[in-house]
Amino acid sequence: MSQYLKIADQIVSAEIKARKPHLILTINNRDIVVQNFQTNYAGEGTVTLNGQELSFLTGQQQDNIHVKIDGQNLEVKLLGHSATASENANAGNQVVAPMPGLVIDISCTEGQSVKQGDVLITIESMKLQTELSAPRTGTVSHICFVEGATFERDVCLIALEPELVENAAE
Amino acid sequence: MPKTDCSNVLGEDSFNYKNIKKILVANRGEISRRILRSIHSEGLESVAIYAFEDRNSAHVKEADEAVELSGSDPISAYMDVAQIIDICKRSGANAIHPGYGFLSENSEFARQVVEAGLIFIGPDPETIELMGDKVRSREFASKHNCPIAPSVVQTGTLEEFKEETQKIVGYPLLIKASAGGGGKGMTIVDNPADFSEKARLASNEAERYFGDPRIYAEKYLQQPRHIEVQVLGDGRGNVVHLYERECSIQRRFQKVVEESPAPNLYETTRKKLIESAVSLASAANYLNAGTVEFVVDGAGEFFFLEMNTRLQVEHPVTEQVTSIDLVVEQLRIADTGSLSFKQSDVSIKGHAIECRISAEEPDHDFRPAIGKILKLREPQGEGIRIDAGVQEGQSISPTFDPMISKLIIFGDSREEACARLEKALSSYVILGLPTNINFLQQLVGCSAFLKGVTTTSFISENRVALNTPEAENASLDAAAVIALLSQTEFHKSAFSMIEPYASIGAWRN
Repeated sequence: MSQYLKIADQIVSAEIKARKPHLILTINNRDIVVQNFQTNYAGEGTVTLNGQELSFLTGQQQDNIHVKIDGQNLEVKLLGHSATASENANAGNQVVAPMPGLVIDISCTEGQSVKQGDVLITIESMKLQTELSAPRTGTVSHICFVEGATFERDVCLIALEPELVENAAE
Repeated sequence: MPKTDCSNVLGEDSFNYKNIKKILVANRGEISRRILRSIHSEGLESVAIYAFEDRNSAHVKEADEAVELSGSDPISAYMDVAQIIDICKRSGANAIHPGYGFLSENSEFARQVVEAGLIFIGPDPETIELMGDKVRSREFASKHNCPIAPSVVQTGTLEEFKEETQKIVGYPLLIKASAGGGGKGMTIVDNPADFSEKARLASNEAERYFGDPRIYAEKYLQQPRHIEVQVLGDGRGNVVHLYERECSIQRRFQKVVEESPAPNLYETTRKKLIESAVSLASAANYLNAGTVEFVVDGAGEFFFLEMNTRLQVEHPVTEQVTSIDLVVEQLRIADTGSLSFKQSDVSIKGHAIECRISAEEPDHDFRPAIGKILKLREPQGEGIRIDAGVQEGQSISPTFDPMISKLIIFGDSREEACARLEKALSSYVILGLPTNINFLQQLVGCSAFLKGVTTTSFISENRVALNTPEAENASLDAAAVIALLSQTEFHKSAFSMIEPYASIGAWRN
């Protein structure tokens, strides 16, 4: 059964193809021969992939694994057995808080028509002001906070009315 | 002359303190640790203060004594003047070093420290007040050999302000907070249509940060460089300079990369900048360490920006090229009221570059990030200095600035410093939260940086070259394999399953 992971904003699938004579994993239809996988308690390790040895360092917090290889930092999120388990079911319908913070300025009203990219709200986090804009063209259905209110990360700040799915048949 | 180098070994010269015995450091994080280091190397005692959230921080452990602050939130705790002075007295400290940020440029704090019979390690309150008022300081600067850019201070209504600005300044222009600093309340206005709205927002922001809504508009130089001069004064008009720092590479009006000396600067311009800075500081009877900031255009024309009446975040690059420990010098000036060396004793050797490592997402407009530092591996090697306040396992919270550390690189030449910097960045590991390390790698590797072509629009102009390159399939695959095999369950199913079961598993599919 395939596992799904999200790496650098891409969803990839992974599957065990063979265990003998060497472990072969299939990542997005690419076969990777895995040899000499070694890691210690500190998350430091080495592995040989398709004959090439690499050293790595990992740090994990829940389902997020941070991997440093070859001067690159990559964050891997384990999504389990279903790619649709990926978050953002509401993507496109909401302006979501990228950080915990404070509402500084609301530049829209409920019921207002907005264009993609219009600034809807200005927030402040870590002494920085950030303008958040409409993810798509639509109508503001709900403003979830008032100016001066504080909020947590990932909460919905402004909701847009759900988009009607156009009939694909022409 | 006090010395500093990459291994932080101080010079042999000893100094007898007559007044200062024990110093309270009214700050946190990397700058608190940096100041503690010099206090201890001078044989003096130290007191740290900390908010509850910071109780496990390195600065708490490294001080001779540490006292917890009480307060409704950590920021107001670090800004609690009465409490800090009280702790100072109770712990027997007789001097306060404010560091940067927090109370460092608060003239009322400096005044109360002095009134309490304590030594304030910094300028006198009147100078802090003068330089803290951007409008008054500009007037002062223009009278003392520092040219200022055309500007208009808002006195009447927004409409009148807009009209006058259009006449005198023109577009594009910058709106700044009169009481400002650190890019707060600062905004660029490209055309008259945006003026009123941006002015209103800037004024609101100024009110919130500084308790003072006053703003002014100033000519915005296209492609300017930001160059500043480090000075030290004895409070009686004697001033020495420690040359300049180039700090043009900024995002959100905050510096990202700083270096000394400034590359590609005409010798005549350098000389004029330094002369202006010294003349200003001398006229102000400046006491202790300060920095005069300028914008310089391509033709070498320059304008006074502001004077920072404190130690700067980027002070280490000056220390590396002059071999002068600025904090030690601050302590000695505060003790004696005189400078411990002459201008002719100061010279520059080599080249130093500092990168500010921050928890942020450069590909998403540098929005700040938070999270726990799961793994930390600092680069090591010749010419590498790291001033950090955080350790592995610590969290970057939304409460404070997202800066994690400062990576300072020294080389005999700029080329050598750049090469060492690239190497140091690639071996710098901070896992657990987004940082700007990959971005800085792109930045120091790009040809404009290597040539030393730096302006304040460096990041926007080189944006495409600075974006994180898309991860190659080989890296994605490797990360996926490593992440999966690090999971006990997956590891077991990949390696420990007895062959027949494994086959059945495959076969049932």
